[in-house]
Amino acid sequence: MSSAVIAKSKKLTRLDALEAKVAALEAKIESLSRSMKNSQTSDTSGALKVQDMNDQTMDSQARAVSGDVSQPTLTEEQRKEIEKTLEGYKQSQKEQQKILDEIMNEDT
Amino acid sequence: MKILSTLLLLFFTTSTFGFVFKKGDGSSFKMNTNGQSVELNIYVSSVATHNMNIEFHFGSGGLLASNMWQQFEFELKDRNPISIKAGYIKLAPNRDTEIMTEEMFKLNKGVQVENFLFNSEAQISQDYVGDEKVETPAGTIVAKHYKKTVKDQTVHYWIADRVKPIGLVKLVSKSEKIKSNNYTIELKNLLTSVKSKIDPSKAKAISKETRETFLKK
Repeated sequence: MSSAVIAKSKKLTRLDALEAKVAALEAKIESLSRSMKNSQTSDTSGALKVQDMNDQTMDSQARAVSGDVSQPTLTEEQRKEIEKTLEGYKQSQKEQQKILDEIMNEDT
Repeated sequence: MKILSTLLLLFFTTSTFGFVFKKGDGSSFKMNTNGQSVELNIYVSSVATHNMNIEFHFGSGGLLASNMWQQFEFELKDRNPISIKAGYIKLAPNRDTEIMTEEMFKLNKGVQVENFLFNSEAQISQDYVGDEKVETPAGTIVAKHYKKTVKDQTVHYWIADRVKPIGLVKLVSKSEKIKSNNYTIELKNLLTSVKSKIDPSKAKAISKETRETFLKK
C-alpha cells in the first residue's frame, strides 16, 4: 500500500471521528436548548427568575431595550457551558472542512 | 383596570411585617380579567423613614400597546403602612401625572383595601387556609394560602416570603354580581432596578375627564 493511500485512509478515519464529534456536539446543543426552554416552567425550588430593568421604566419602550422577559435567564455556569460547546462545534467543523479540502485537492 | 387601584394594595399588607424595602425591587405578574391578558408590574418607587411609594404598571402588548401607571404613597409606622397619604395616575406615556382623589382609592364594591392594608398580622392570620404548592408562570412555589370574603366577592391569595418585597404568588378574585371583580393574577418573575414612571413632584390636579373616565362604571 502506498504512503499516499495510507495518508488518505488516516484522513478519512479522522473525518469519521470528526463527524461523530460534530453530531455529539449538535446533540448537546439541542439538549442545552431544550433544558433552557424547560427551565421556564419547571419547579423553581432554586433561584427565581429576576429581570434587571437597569434603571428603565416599565413601558413598551423600556421592554424593547431590556429584552424579552419571556426568555429564561441563563446562569453563569449554563452560559459558559453553551459557549464552550459552541466553540468546540466550530473548531470541529473547521477541522472537518480542512480535511475534506485536502482530500478533494488530492483527488484532483 | 380601575378595580385594582384598591385591591392590589393587599399584596403589600402581608409582606410588610419586618421587611426592609429596596427602591426598584418588585414583581411582574400576568393578569387575566374578562378574557383579556394584561401585564401587571408592582415595584417600590421610593422609601423613606416615615413613608414609602409603590408604583403599579398595567401594560398590554401587541400592535396597539397600552400602558397605565398608578403610584401610592403610604405612611409608615415601624415599617408597616398605617394610611394611604396620596395616589397618582398617569393614563398614557404622553399624559400628565395627575393626583388621584380619595374616592378613587375606594372604587371596589367588595373586598376593600382596609380589609388588608391596616390589619395586624394576627388579624390577617385569621384568613390563613394552609401552605400549598402553587403553579405559576414563574414556576412551582410553596406559599401561604389566604381566603377573604366580603359581600359577594371572594379573594383567594397566596403569599411567599421568597417573592418579597411584594410577596404575592397568585390571586384569584370571584364575584357573581360584579363582573369586574372576576380576575386572576399570577407571578411571572421578580424585578430589580425599575425606574418609576411617575414623579409625584410633577403631578397636577386631576382633570374632570380623567376623573370621569376612572370612576365610570
